[in-house]
Amino acid sequence: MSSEPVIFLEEVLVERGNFSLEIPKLQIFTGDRVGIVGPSGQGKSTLLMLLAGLIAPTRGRVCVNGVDPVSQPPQWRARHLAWMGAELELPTDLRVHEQVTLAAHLMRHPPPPDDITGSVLNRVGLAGFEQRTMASLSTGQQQRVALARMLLHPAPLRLADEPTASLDKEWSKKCSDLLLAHPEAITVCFASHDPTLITRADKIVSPEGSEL
Amino acid sequence: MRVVWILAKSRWRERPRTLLLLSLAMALAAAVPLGTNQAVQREVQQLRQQTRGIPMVAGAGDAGQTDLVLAALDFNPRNIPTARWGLVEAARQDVPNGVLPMHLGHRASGVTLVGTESEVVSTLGLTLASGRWCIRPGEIVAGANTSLDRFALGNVVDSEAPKKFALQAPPTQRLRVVGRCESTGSPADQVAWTNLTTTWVLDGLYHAHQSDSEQPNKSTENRQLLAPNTPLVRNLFEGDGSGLHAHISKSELPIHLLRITPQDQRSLTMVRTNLKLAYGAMTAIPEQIADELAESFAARAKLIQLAVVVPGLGVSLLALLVVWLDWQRRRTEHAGLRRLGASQWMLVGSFVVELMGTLIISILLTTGLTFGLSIFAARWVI
Repeated sequence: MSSEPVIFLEEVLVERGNFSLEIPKLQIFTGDRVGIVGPSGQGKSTLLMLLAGLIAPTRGRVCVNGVDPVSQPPQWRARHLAWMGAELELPTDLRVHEQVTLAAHLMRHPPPPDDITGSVLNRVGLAGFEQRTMASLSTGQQQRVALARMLLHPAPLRLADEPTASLDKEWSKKCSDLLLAHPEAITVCFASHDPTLITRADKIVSPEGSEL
Repeated sequence: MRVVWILAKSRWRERPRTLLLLSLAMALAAAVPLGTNQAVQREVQQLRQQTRGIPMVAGAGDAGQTDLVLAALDFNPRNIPTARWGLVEAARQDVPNGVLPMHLGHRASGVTLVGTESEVVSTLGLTLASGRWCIRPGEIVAGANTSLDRFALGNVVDSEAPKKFALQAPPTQRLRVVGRCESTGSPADQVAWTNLTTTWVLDGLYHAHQSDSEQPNKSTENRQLLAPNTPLVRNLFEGDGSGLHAHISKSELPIHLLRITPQDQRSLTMVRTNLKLAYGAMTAIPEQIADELAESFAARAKLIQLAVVVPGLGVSLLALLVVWLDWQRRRTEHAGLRRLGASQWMLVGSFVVELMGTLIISILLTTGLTFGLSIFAARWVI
């Protein structure tokens, strides 16, 4: 763990209609595996979106990798974050192999070699599904595609919102292993209700940033 | 750019039918007005080109001017009433060397026979590919596009009976092909040329009688009983034609039209006035008729275009609606892609590239449909 936090939030307030989320202070360090837990509607997804720069705080300071994420161009997100949303939002006409290499194209990197994508797809149980379109897959399979895409994304920060929500117990366990088994340099923040995944986190925080 | 291409390609790959339908709808909306316009322009241009070489035509007083001009162009008689040979003689008083009479009423083996004089060669710029020009009655010269099987040099073809069930009608004649023309690229290639005497024989007006020596049996009971106008020869080309005669004055013999080429404007005015006033003939200046026809074609094309404006606009609006709905449908996908780091220009770019593909196919389809519709419009509508 380095002394400089990779994520730093201070005196943050987010107001969206009747909803408000206040985060006095939150620090996450490189290599941390942080689970965000709490009842539905408390702000887990809002916190992840704040970290990804997808929404701006009403006030306060949000700092990710030393910069304010909301003021960064989309290219910054492609380079520094691997995002996996609760709603899969995947282009339905893309085939599985195109989905998993999309992140590399967005980063303007050469796509990972076929043997690596094949190996990752094999680990998420989608070997042989390379030419299938998203529309032809079940929600659980689509979620595993999204996970494979995240695993192939070389970004130093992974943000995952309910990454195992559509998976059965067996795949939930396997996917939790894959998501959290990572090199030291990668930080993972996920929001979840899944005990299998939550119990493996190094740190569990509420959406308000308090450690549980 | 790679992401733009991957996204656009995936949509074409997975939904080709929808995008093709959209292309087709857009192509149809554009092709109908374009096709009719093209047909009109082509027809008018062709008509103007063809009429440029014909200063004037004349025919029977109750013939239509347009019919006369069109008959002079394509040799289709269109039920125009016949004029009399006297009109030719009258025209020649004013224009001695520029009057070409034409008789268009007969056919042989499915091809129109144009009875005329040998001056037709220079007037229409005909050249012989083989053989010679028809001199004697019963001889014909075939146009370049007539069937080579039936109208080969030396072949004998049968004329067609004008009215198949008219028992009083003159019998058909056997005609020999003595020449074939080079192609001119005009309707002259579709017809066969013959002399006026032959057409008058086919009319049943000119005939010959068999001599005593030709009678197979002199006995009264075996002698053929024939009406005065029945031609007694069927192989016209075998004789010299000297025995052919009519029982009416030559000035009464029928012709369909006269192509008149006066030397100058003054001579044109004189012959036109003379034929109109003294002989009650119908005269027409083809260039003027072409202008009138051009206006009529344009009016019809406008009518067609107006008729397709509403459905065309409907199709265009529908296409726009489909495009807009498709964009709306992808909002979730776009949101997801933005979260992954895709910029707005990437998303708009992929949509534009996809639409460009649709547009290119639509343009190709429009080109093909315009070509097809212009032919259809020229043949069936205009």
